Amino acid sequence: MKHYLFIESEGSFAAADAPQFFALAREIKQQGDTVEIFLVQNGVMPARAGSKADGLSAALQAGIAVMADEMSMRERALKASDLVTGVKPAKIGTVVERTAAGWNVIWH
Amino acid sequence: MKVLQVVSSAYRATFEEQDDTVLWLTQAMKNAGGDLDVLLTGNTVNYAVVGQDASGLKFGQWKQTQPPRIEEDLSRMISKGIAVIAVADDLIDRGLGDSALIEGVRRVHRGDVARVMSNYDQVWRW
Amino acid sequence: MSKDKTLTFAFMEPPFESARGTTVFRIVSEAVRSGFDVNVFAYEGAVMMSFARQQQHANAVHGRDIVEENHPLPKDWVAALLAEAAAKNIKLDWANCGLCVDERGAGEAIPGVRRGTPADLWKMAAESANTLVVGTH
Repeated sequence: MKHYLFIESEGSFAAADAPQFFALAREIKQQGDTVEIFLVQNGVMPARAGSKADGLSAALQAGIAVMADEMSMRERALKASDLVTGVKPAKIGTVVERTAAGWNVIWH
Repeated sequence: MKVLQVVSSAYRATFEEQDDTVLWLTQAMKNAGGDLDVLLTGNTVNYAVVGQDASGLKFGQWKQTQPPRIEEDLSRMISKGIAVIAVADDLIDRGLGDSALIEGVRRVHRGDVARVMSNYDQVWRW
Repeated sequence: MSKDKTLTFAFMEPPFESARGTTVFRIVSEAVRSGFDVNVFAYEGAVMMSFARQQQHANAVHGRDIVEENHPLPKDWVAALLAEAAAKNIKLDWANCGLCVDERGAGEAIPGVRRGTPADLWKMAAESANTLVVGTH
């Protein structure tokens, strides 16, 4: 089994292919591999409850762990209590930890 | 170590560089002993289309003499053993589903990309 | 240097254009802070991150002089990370793609930064536990 960390830095408000990136994460999970999503920069904006961005909710419904970079959240006045259910704040060190553990870390 | 180079940014500075910088990097690493293949996604699927012509750039007396030749670059990569794979759905989305592609380019359905990725030790998305 | 303790990061973003550069620096910083040996391969516009001639400026809109503004310069970030790695006795190998440097006239990098080639990137990756690539648009 392989492990993947998907880093989403733009979200579907800025990147038309962001939903496809999330869909790929779902397909990886469906084939039995481990996948997590780390939102960073404007990629955290779809994680605000009430956001109408595409892709993220389907990933959450698929049971994929979704994290949001704490500094990116703070910069955008996005509090943990504002996050859509299922998204957890996380430190940037998560990226280093997964990279060091040999996960395939893929930036979008 | 086998790496899948996912190329997603198309025609970025190709006139300035006279190539695609990630395809160039891939060839250079292959020449250095690397084991890499290429997955064309999004607009970069257009790199696989036959008939690209970037010639004719001219500013004042300055003329570009070596324009980017992406088709030749891809053909050379394929001849060196670099698999070049294009996402078929991205071709179809861009009206290229029935277009002639450079010989040797393989198509993969978007739903099979996850399976393709699992064949590689690392996936580098540029 | 242990392969298990070495991480490689390759990126393309030039300074002062997007949030990606800052995020790459945050990731590299975290790797150094955590004690990993780190390779950085700066490709294309990213070679300007360590360009020695970057200069601070005052900012009239902010109402601050040059000292008060203390404008961030990525070359100083690179220098700070190199210094931190040296203090921790770990390796931070920061290589700029040489041809990318030449076409930009950016040969004056800060001390501690070296020229590199695609072959160096492949070697870095092959000798690392893992590699993270951050491209650009």
